[in-house]
Parts: sequence; structure tokens; C-alpha cells
Amino acid sequence: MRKLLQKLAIILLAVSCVMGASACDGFGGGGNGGGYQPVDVALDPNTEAHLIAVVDVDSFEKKLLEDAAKGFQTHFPNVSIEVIQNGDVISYIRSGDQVDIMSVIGENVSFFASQGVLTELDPYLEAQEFDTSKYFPSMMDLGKDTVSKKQYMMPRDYSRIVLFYNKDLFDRLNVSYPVDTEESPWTWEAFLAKCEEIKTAMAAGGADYKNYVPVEGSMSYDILNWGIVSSYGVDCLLKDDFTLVDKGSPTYANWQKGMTAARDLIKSGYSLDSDNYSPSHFQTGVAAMAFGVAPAMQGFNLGQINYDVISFPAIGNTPKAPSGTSGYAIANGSGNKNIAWAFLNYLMSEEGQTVLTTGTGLVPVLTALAEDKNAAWRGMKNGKGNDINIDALLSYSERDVIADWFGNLPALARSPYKGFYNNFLKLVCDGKKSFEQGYTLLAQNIDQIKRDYPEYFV
Amino acid sequence: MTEQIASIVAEEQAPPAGRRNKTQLKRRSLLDRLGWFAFILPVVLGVLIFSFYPMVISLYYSFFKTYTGTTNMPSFYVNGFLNFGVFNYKKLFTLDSEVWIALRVTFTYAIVVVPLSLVLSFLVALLLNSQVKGIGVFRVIYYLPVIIPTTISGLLWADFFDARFGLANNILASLRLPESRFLTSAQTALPTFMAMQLWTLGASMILWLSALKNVPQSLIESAKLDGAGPLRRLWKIIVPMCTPILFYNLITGIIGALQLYGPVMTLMGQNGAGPDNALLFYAYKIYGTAFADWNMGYACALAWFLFVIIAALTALIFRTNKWVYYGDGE
Repeated sequence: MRKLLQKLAIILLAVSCVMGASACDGFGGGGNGGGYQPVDVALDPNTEAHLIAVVDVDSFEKKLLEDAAKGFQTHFPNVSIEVIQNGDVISYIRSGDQVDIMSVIGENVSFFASQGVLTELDPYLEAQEFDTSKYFPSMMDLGKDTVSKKQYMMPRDYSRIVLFYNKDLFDRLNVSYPVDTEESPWTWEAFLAKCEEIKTAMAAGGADYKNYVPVEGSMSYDILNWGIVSSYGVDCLLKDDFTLVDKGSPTYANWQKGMTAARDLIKSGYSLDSDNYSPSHFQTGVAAMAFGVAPAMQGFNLGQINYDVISFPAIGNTPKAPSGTSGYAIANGSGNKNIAWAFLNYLMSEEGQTVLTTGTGLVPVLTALAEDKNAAWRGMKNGKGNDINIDALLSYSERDVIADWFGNLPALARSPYKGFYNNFLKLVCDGKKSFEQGYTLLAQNIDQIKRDYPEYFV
Repeated sequence: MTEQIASIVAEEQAPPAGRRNKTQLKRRSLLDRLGWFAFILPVVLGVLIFSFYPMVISLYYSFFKTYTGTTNMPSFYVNGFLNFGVFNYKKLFTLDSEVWIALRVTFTYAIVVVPLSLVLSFLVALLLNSQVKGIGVFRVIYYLPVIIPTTISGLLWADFFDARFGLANNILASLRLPESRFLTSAQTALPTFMAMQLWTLGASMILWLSALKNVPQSLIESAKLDGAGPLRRLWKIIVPMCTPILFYNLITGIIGALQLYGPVMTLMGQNGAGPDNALLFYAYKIYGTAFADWNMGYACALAWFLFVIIAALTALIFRTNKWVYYGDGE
């Protein structure tokens, strides 16, 4: 018996060694297996391929792409698309697994491009004679590398921050709904007045509304904060040498105004600081209003909130609305780049956009479909099954502003800058440091990273 | 003819019978050894590949200042690491003030929670060692929190200590006590977190219980006959007999406290450092450096510094373990 076991163990060992060796052979395949593939946008519909698409660990994202894949297969019946969930796609690629298509959030495009994991899409756009003007320009910009301005990602949907309000809670507090008309435009001042009205009504309600809050909004959330700051005329926080704008400069003064407006929202008790903020206050009915994007409606519907939507309040003479989305890119190591592009091209088509947005809470990035009053995606309802003001999700698209506060800062320097900036936003918005103190700390952090890591800026 | 010659040569060259037996024995012995090696090889390979190799390579990486992350290099090459030198260690000791905040938080936690957890789990084990009807139910109840996944307990505690809607403040309010901000204030975040970690003292408790069961009843009875009271018996017999478990719990407790990461992450989410870095544990600092700042070389240096601290502390405890009773003659 012992001998038999020994023999079995030796055989097992030999098999393991052989299998291990064969597995080692695959190292680097996924990351480097792409090689040069001439661009071909006129593929035979009978082309055979098996594509691997990687999305974030989110069942919604997976189902969305699987549904789109089914639509694509009506045009390319011999192409199968396997959707895999993975929260760290770069590590996944580095481990040698095959990836053809990957989901990327707009903010990460430059970093991913710098890591060499994305395929430049400009040759495909050119060969396809793809008309980018048919899409919301802010979303197309999100797919570009901030330094080279090359396109790497195709946006999935049109998404920007709007204001949701809980109609039932407004009714209980006897506060009128916010409006945006020519006579009474929806401005930051009108928004603050509404916050005050709600706060007063909540205070009058006593213990029933003890822990309620007028608006759920994380003022230190960078893109939301940028919507406020950029409305004060700030284009970029950095100078050409990637140090902070000078103290006392017009940009500095405008930045300070924006930060003060954000901080005052918390200071006045209209919103909560970062330690107390919770993204579920509106969904659980304890926040009267919430800054959020269209996909957040899924959560509000789960909470059965009877809400409606109004655009982001207009600040000053150059109002901005913070925008951002995710989209799809072709992995640089893909061996099926042409068919992967065909899939991306399908997603951007009217048919693909209809699949992506119908019943999903997403707004099409294709302008014509977004503005089509009879489009299927407009069938959105709130948590009580009531209609909502869909146009508010689209209106004032000229105000869109994306996460470009660092301008063309090289990708390697973005991670540390982002860390310092987020810390600055928390300290200042939460009132733990004045704007001047926060600015000084941020400037010191940036100077240090420039001194210690000059190679990041090459 | 040729065959005949070949067979004669073969016979001449063949070893005598004794040598043949020896060779066969050697072969069998080698087969024997190979068999046993084959049994342990998967584990040895696993340790070498998944523990030893990453450790060694991380030490190597810790000397690279820059991590570019580029992937278009051959396999097994040091992907994306540039600028070899001691910059990361210089940064660790002189430039990065967060390191010392993280060490302060981590050591405060270890100094408070490890002894407290040892004492409390011992006391609970003493209670659960009593011969009372239905004591098994209590043992299960005390052990139950250990089998609840960290993510689940993290979410439960986050809800419980929610400063605005949590049960904890409701209880305080019903007792007419002042409400607390718990995890949302720099002053109360760490004490709150420490209190939560005592939730899992059932793990040490079960080890104490097994040690208590092994204390010879004859010794207890003799002490009783000699007139030793309960406290004296506890201090002079039970505790010394349990010192091996105390030693084990101490070592694992210190290592666990210094490496604490999971509970902070599940409780605080992306905001793992807590208000004003009140919960900036050292392991969280390593994680943030690696996966938020993408500074892999520096993260490796931080990890090695922690390794040295843990190794030194463990060695110190082992060198001063004369108080541990291992049985007769030890």
C-alpha cells in the first residue's frame, strides 16, 4: 500500500512539473501577445473570434456588457464575448491572461495608457470615418489621454452630476419643489435658499428630523468640488511647470471662492463633512436632496424614493456641471483588435446605445438618441413608479466640465498629486484647515514630489 | 558470434551478487526517499514559490525608487522598476511623517488590545471552564463571533457605531448619557475600534480553555488540602500551567496587531485612515502606498521595515521566555 502511494506521489509530482512548465510557457501572453495587426474596419460578418471583456466587480456592469454582446452577435454570429469581472484589470493583464476589451473609468484613461495596456483608437476612428461630433464632446474628451490627446476609450454613456430631491420629504416638510424656469432660474443662490428652507423646516419638526440632512453631497469629492470651483473661472490648478498656481494670482482668488462656497455648505449645516457623509442618506430617505449621477437612480429606486431631478445649480456667470463616465477600450495585448473595435463601434451605434441605455438608468452618449423624445431609454421611473424630469439629465450640456484640474500633468505624477489634492479637499471642506493653510500644505507636498521624483515629470 | 561475445563481455562487466544487492538497496532507498520527498514537495514548492520568492523579490524591489508599471518587457524581468538605491529607506526614516503616525497608531493599538484581549479571554475561559449545566451553549455563544466573516462583522459594527443613526448612540441616549461620534472623531475612533476588536476574543478563549482542561486536578486538590484559596490556586497553579498558551497567544497577538489590515478596511472602506489619520494602521499605509500611490518599491521598503520590527519583537519575547512552564525539567 505504501509503495503504491509512493508511486502515485511520484507520478503526481511528474504531472505537476509538466503542467507547471507548460503553464510557465504562457507567461506574458496576455500582455504581449497582441503584436502588430493592420487596422481593418470592414470585417467579414462571418469572422470567428472569442473575445474576453473585463469589467469591474459589479453584476450590473457584467449584465450590461453581456446584453450588448448578444446584440453584437446578431451582426457577427461567430463571435462570442466572455465577460469577466475583475477589480484590478492591470494585474489581470500582467498575470498573462488574455484580455481584448476592458472597461475603464474616464479618470483612469491616462494612467492606463501610460502603463501601455490600452490600444490607441485614433487609427480605427480614422479608418471607420467615425463622426465623433455625434456624441457629447465632454464624454469623448474623457476617453483621451490628457498628455498626448490620443483617444483610448469610447464612452459608454452620458453622465454628469445633477440634483435629486425627495418629493415625499419635501411634502412632509411643507417645502416647495425646486424649479428651473426663466423667471426663477436654478442658481446656487436659489439652491442655498432651498437648503435653508429645508433646514428650518427640519428643525421645526423636532425629534422626527433630528438626524436628517438637507442635501447629501460630499463636498470633498473631487469631481463634485471641481464643478463648483471651475464655475468660478478656474481652468487648471497647476502652472506649466506642474507646481500650484501662485498665491495671490486671479486663479488662486477664484479657487479660494469656490472652496469657500463648498466649505460653507457644510459649515451652514446643509451638508455633512467627510467623516459623517454617507452615500446612502438619500436612498434611506433622510436626505432631502442629493448630488448624484443618473446610474444612482437604481439605488434610489431600491429605496422606493419618490424623487425627481433638477440640473446642477448654476454658479456665477460661467456655470459648470461636473461630468464623468466610464467606457470601453481595447487591450494592447489583444490578438483580436479589429473585431474588438467592431464591438466598440457597435456599442457607439444607435442600436448599441439603445441596448446599453434601455431600462438601465443610463443616458445615451449619442446626442441624437439622447435628445429623441420617443427613445426607449426615456422610460425611466422613480422608486414609486412616477415619471421624472428626464430633460434635467441632459440640459445645459455646454456647462459640462470633466476631471481636468491637473491639466496635462504626466500620468506617473497623477497618483501622488491626486492623493495630496484629496487630502487638501477634505481638510479645507471639513473646516480643519483654512484655504491658505491647505494651499500651503498642498504646495509643499507638490514641491517635495517634484524634488524627490523628477523622473515622474519626464 | 557477435551475440556470444556481447554476452561474455556483459557477464564480465556485471557486478558480483553482493554488490548487485547493495545497488538494488541503494536504488530502493533512493526511491523511498524520493517518495517521501514527493509527498512534501507540493508544500515545499508552495512555500518557496508563494512565500519565499515574493519575500526575496520584494526586498530587491524595495531598493528601486521608481515604479513605472510598464508591461512591455520580457517575462521574469524586473518590470517597470527603475533607479536602484536606498532612497526608499531614506524616505521611510527621514521624509515621510505618515510612517511615524502609522507606527504610533499601530503600537498604541497593540499595547492596549493585546494585553486586554489576553486578560479578558482568560477570564472568559475561566468562567466557561466551570462545571455548570448547559455551559456548552455559552462556549458556542462566545466563540460564534470568530466564525462571522470580517466583512460582515465590519458592516455590522459600522452600522452599530453610526454616529447619526447607530444603535450605540440610541442606547446612550436612552440611558441619558452623552452621545459619541465614535468612528467619526479623531479622539474616539481608535478607542471605538479597539473595543470592537475585543469582539473576537473567542479565538484566544478557546486556546485558554484547552490549557485549563490540561491543568492536573491532582495539583488543584493538593493545593486545596494545603489550604490555598481560589486566588492563590489561580496565581500559583493555574496561570503557571497555562503559560505555554499565554506565550503562544502573546506572540500571535502581537504579530496580528502589528499586521492589522482587514478589519480597518472593511469598517472604514476607502476612507481606511479614519478622521485625521486616527486609524492609519501601518499595514493600511503599505496598501495605500502600493495600490493608491502605485509606489511599489516604497511599499516593499515599508513592508520590510515592519518585518524587521516583528522579527525583533518576536526574538525578544523568545529570548525572555524563561517564565514559560513546559513541564517537568524544563
